[in-house]
Amino acid sequence: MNPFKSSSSAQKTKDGLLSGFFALLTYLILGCTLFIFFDIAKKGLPVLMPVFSEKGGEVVDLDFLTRMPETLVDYTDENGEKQSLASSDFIEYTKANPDAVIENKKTNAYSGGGIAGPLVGTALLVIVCMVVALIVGVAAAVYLNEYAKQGRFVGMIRLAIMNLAGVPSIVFGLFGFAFFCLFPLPIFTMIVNEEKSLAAIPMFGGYLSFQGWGNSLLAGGLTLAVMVLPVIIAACEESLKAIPKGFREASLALGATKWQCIRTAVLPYATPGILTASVLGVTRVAGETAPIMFTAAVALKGKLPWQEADGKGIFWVSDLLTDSVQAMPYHIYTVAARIPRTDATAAMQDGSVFVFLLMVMTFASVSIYLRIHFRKKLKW
Amino acid sequence: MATHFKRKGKRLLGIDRQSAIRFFFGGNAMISILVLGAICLFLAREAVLFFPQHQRDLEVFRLTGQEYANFVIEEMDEFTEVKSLADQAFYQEMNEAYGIQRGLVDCYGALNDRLFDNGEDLIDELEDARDELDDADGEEEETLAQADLDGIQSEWDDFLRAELGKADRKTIDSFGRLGEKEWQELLDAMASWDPVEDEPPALVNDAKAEMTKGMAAFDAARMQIGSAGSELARLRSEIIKITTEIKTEAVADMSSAARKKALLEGSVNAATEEARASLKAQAEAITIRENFPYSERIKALEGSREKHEAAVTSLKSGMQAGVAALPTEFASTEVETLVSRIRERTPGLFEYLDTSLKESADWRYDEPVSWLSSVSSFFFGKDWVTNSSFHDFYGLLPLFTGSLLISIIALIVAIPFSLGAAIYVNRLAGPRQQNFIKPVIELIGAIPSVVLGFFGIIVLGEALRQTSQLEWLSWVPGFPMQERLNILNAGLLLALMAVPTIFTLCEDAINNVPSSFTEASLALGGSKLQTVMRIVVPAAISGIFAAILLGFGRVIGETMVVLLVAGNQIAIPDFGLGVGVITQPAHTMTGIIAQEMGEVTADTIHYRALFSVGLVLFTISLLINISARRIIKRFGLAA
Repeated sequence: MNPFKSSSSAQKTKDGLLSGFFALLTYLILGCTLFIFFDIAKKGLPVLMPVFSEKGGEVVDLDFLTRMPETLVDYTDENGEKQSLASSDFIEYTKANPDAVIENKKTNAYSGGGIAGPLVGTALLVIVCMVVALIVGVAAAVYLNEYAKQGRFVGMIRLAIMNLAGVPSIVFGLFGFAFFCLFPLPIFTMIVNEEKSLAAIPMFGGYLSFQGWGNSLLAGGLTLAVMVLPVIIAACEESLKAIPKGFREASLALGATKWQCIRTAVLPYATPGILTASVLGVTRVAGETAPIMFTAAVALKGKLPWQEADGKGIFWVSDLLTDSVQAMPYHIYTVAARIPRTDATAAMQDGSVFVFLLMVMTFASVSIYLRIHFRKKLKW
Repeated sequence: MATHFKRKGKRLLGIDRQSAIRFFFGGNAMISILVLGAICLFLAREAVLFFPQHQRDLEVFRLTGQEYANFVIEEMDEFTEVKSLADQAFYQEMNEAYGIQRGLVDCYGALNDRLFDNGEDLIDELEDARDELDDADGEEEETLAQADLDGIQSEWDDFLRAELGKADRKTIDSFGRLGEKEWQELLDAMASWDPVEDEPPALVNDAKAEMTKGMAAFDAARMQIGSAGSELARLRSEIIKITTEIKTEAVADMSSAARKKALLEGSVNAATEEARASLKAQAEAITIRENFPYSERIKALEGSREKHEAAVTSLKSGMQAGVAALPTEFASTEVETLVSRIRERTPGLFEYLDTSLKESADWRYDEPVSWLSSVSSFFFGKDWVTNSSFHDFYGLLPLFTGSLLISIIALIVAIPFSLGAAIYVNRLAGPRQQNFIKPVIELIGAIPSVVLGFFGIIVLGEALRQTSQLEWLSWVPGFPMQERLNILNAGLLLALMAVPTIFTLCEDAINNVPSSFTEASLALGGSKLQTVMRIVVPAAISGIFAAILLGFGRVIGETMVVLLVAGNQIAIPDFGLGVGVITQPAHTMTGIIAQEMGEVTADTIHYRALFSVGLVLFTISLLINISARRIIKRFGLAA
């Protein structure tokens, strides 16, 4: 048989069919994803930009982003037209027009107003989480990559990180609830919760009370930090590994101490990598619902977190950190699962989902772009 | 410049600055170990405390006789399942064999309702006018009344004509049972309908009679089956009442010491003398018994065993007769399958009843509950019931089955897609396609699960249901779907979530196949695809397997999608439907934690049960991770 003979035409057709099939599978995945994106954008964009809706309207409806969620009242007016107003607007409207005809009045929880509270809450959660996760994650990566020698201790750390990465997010939620919320961890407070507090030490004109953090921003943020730690460590380590050994050797040869070497010859070059890691971390954290469901999030709050916090100085910070927050993913869970979808409530559902998806996808795209970009650029 | 080489000398507690920095970094690295340890600790603590508490709970369950009641309840449940099959078959047969007749009766009912709703005032007037005519004395009055009546009557006739003209066949006959001809006949018959007498037209009456006559035998058999269980049902409610009473008393007794203490404390702190005295009296009225007299109270169940036996015997004989009386010829094969399922299940039901009866006869209220049964009733318990007025069950099986079924479906869908995509991207696609496809697939991994869940509720659920209702797809098992939110819906969404994980790892594994393998194959004259399918994929199979394992870990731990989309019905899906089982709703381990954790009080048995479920999940994820790592290590692949 001639080995240089080109394959038979039957084989060629078979090959063509099979590659076509694989291509089909690949593009089906992409097609499904794009369909989901388009479907959500199609429904959600008109909420944010009424100009695209059937009725038309302003170009951008900032109210949706700047108002707190409220109860929605829908009713039929004297012309038999359906109207819906957020409850505070409705109260104003009825005050201004006491004779207005209001029929078939119906209230829908959480469906009026905007999503300012959840947006701010998610931002705060992400900030608390990332501050902690970055400090711990970068330090751990530096240790693993710069200090540690292969041994049992490092082996154990790596095993722990790897296993931590696979733990379901709801289990982190359980852990966070048991540890950060219920375990008597210390907080600064003016008023000690007698029932829960194990001990209260008078300090700065208030108390340092061991009463647990409860359902709070801090508990949620730390739960998320614990969850995202393996991701941050892995990403940081990758960027540290990419720095050539020569940098370190040159620095050490010049007489730098280990710390000086790390500070001047390693960390500056790892900054892009750490930036990528943090964006990646934000992506992971912002989208998670399960870990914050019972550690931080509540469905409804009247004011923004900093408007609610009492006290001064450290007590204000402590009050802010130990108060529960609204969060986008939990808000979506609430409006998607607990409220029947009607014409009146659909706007809140679609709008929140669209804004949230847009937010997370932006972060995800940035992290993917940064990684590809730095990988290409930073080749020594 | 000797100073540069000089070590800094400041020491604190024998640690110099460099080691302090080193310890700082090392300490941060250790946090991951600490966290993992803390997770183990917190989960294990609650789980370890759960089992003794569960054991005590089961003990009370037994001592109060509720366990005996449960035998009867489960027997009744089994029976009800078969009974409802008979009802289902009956109504389906009626619809199929007497569809037109049933349509006529139903449409008449709907038209009747509508006429009474819209013409309420007119009908009242008509009735009054007729009464007036009847009561009228003398000719003059009679003519007046007659004229009055005639006016109203003609008004009614106009109204009736208008209403019948307006009536839309599609809305009235929502099941589409009537043809155009029958519908016209019904409308014609209704044209002379009299609202005061409110008698259905002969057409409808005939249809009804025909239907009743035709279905009489089936109906009798169905009723016989249904009433076979009435004695058992009576016994069931009787025993539940007795045992629940015992339990309420026993539980009150258990907390009596605490209650007494609280009342006494309250009486000391009470504001007024009067309140103090009343609280104290209340406290003194509570007697603390060392042991609740279960043996005394359980006597209330005496005689139940005989009644139980009699009820089961009567159920069996009644049902035997009923099943034998079921007709043998049906309008469609579907009804035939339903009836044959009744026939098939009857011997099984009888067998179940016999074993259950025997077990209940051997049942003793004072038999100790072993810790083993506490463990096994958690892991293999078929019920997860909380906040029940009867007894709370904490059985993992329905949740575990749900999680597993959903994960399996997700993997079955995700594996070919991810593997195909990985092969395509790594071996077949050009660099431009690679640079586009890889980031997009990575982007899928970042879609928040709650958004996918929302999509599942709003779009996919509806789309799946409408697809399942298509006529030409009715051969697919489980179609048409009853529920929008079900295992299939959740599985499909999870498949999308698993794709990035499986794809990335598969792609890595394929990428790691040494190029000499491919080169050798190509040199021997293999085509590109032959090389991929027969050399590359087999060489990468262990990596692919690890990818699938990790994908499974990702899917089984996913919470929000299953919470929103799986239907949240806590029951083991009915495997009797074969593959169609996937169109049923289910609940999952992750879902139950997310759903119930927010409402439980710390340290209760329910709280600990949820932590135990969490521990099971945690263990599964650890096992998956460790085995995937082993595979990767053994076959020398870079993860």
